[in-house]
Amino acid sequence: MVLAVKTVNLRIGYLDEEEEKIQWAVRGVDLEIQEGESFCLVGESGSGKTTLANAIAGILPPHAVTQGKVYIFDKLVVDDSSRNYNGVRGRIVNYIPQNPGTSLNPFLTIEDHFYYVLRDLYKYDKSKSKSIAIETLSKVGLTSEILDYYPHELSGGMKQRVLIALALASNARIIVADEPTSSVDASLRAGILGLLSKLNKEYRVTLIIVTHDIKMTSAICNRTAVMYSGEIVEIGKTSIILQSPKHPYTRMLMECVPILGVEKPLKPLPGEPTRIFEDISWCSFRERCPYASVECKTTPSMIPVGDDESHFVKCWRFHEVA
Amino acid sequence: MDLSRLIQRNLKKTRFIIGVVITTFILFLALFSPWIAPYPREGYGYVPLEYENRKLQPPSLNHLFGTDVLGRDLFSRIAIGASTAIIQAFTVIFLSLLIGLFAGISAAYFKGVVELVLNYLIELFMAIPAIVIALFLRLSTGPGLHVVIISLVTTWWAWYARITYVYAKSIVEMDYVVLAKLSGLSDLKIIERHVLRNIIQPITVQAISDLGSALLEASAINFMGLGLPPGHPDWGVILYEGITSLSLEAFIRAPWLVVFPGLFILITTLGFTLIADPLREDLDPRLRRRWRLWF
Repeated sequence: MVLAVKTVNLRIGYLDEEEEKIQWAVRGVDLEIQEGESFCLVGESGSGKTTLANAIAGILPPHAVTQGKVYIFDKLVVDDSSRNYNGVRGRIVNYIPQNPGTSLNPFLTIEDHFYYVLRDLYKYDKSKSKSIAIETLSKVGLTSEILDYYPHELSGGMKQRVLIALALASNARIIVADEPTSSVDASLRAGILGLLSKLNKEYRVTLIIVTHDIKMTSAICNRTAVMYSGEIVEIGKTSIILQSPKHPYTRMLMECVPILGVEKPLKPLPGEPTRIFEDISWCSFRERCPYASVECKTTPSMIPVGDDESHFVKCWRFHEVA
Repeated sequence: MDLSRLIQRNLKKTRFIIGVVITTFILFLALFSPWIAPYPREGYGYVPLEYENRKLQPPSLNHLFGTDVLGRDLFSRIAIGASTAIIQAFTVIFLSLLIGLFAGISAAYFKGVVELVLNYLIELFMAIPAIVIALFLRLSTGPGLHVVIISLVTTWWAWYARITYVYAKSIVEMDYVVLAKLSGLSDLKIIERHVLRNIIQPITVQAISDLGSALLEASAINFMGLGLPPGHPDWGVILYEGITSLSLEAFIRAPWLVVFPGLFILITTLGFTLIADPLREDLDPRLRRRWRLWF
C-alpha cells in the first residue's frame, strides 16, 4: 500500500489582524491516508477540518502559519513554515470547492474552464484540452454538448459535476472535496455522493471529503476522522465509528442528526469549539463533555479501542461512553 | 459572447440602427470632410479676402448653413469640426477608461493601502470640476487641445475607476478568484482571466454611452473659450464665436450661427447614446442567451 497523504504533528494557525496572536485551527494532527482510500473528516464548524483539507490541497492562505510536515505521495509539501506545492497542487492533488455557484467564472464557457486549467498545468492546446474535457465529462455523466455552455446555463448539480470533472481532468490522484453536497439539493446529494464513490472505486482516486454531516460519511467513506478544536478525537472505520462511537463528541454529533422514520429527541450541541491561542494541557472537549472528570485535566493520547488496529480515540473515559 | 454577436442581435432594434446611422455619418464626415466641405480652407479658419461681402449670409445653395461673421462658410466649418469632435470625445473616453480600469482593479484586487489611497484619490478627483482645471490650464499653458483632453481626463477617470472598483470588488470575493489566488496563479493572469473579463463589457458600454457626454463637456469648455483657440474648427468654438461676435439683434438676424453647431452636437450625442442604450440592456451575462431550464 502506498501512502497518499501523511501528516506528521501538523499544526496550522491563523495570524490575527494585529499579527500578534495565532489562533490554532489544527493542533498536532498525525494522519495517514492510503492510496485509493475514501477518507472523511467530520466536525462542526470551527473544528479545523477545512483547514486540514486545505493544507492537503495546497490552498492555505498566506497568513496561515504551519508547523510539522505534510507528505503527499512521499513528496514533502509542508516543512514547518515553508510550503511548496509545486508539481503537486493540481497535478497530484486537486480540490472540489464547496460552492459550485461561485466557483465557475460566468464569462468563460465550460470548455474554456478546462482549457485554462490544462494549459496552466500541462501547456495543452485547445484541441487536446477539449478531448480531455469530453472524456472527463463523460466520467461524471455529462455530455460534450455542455462544452460551449456558460455556467449559468447549468443547474446546481450539473455545475458540481463540472467541478468534479475539472478536478479529474488534470489526472489528479487525490481529490479533496470540501462539503461537496452542502449547497446542492437533497435529491441531488445522492447523485453526487454516488458519483464520488464511483470515481473512488473505478478509477482508484483517493478521496478526502470534508463534511459536517456524519451520516453522509457512511455512504461513501471507508474511514472517518472526527475533529474537534483542531485535533482528531476519533479515527477508525466508518462503519465501526457509526455503530459504536467511543468519543463523547462523536456521540453528540450522532445524536443531533435526525433519522428518517425514527422519532427520537434531537439534542443540539451546547456551546461551540474553544478557540485556542496557546498550548493547552487539558482535554479541549472538557467543558462540553458530560463525562468530564479529574483525569480530563491532562491531554489524552490516542488510545486504541479494543483489538481493532484502526480505531483510535482521544478520550480518557471512552469505556464509559456506551 | 463576443462583441460582434452582441451587435448582430442589437441590429434588430430600430434605435440601435438609428444610432449606428448617425454615428457612421459623423465618422464619415470626420474622415472625409476636407473633400466634402465646399470651402475646406475656410473650414480650418482661413478668413476670405472679400469677407465684407460674404459675412452673415443666410443658408443658400452656395452656403448650405450660411456664413459666419467673418464670411466663412459655416457648413465647411462644421464639417471640418466633426473630426475635432470625434478626436476629443474618443481620446477623453479612451484615456479615462484606461486609467479608470487600472486604478479600479488595483484598488479592488490589491486591497489594503492601495485600496485606501486610490479611493481617496478617486473621491478627490470626482470632486474637482473639469472647468476649474481647464481654466487653470488655459491660464498657465495657453489654449489648445491639451486643455480639453487633460481637464476632462483628470475628472473623468475617477468615475470609471469607481464603477470598475465596485464591479471588481464583488468579483474578487468570488470563489473562482480566491481559489485561483490560493493555488498560486499569478496576479496578472487572474486579473486578465477572471477580473477584467467579468467587468470589461459593462464598462465598455458605459464608455460608449459617455462618448456623448464627453463631446458635450468638451464643447462646453470650448464654448467658454477655455479650450481650443478661436478660428479652430470645433463646434463649441463655432458656437462661442457665433454668440460672442454678435449683438443680440444680429443674433436674432442670424440664428443659423447657433442652430447648426448646436444641432450637430445634439445629433452626435444622440447617436452615441442610441448605440449604447440597447447594448446596456444586454449587460447582464445571465440575459445573454435564453434560459435553458434543467430543474
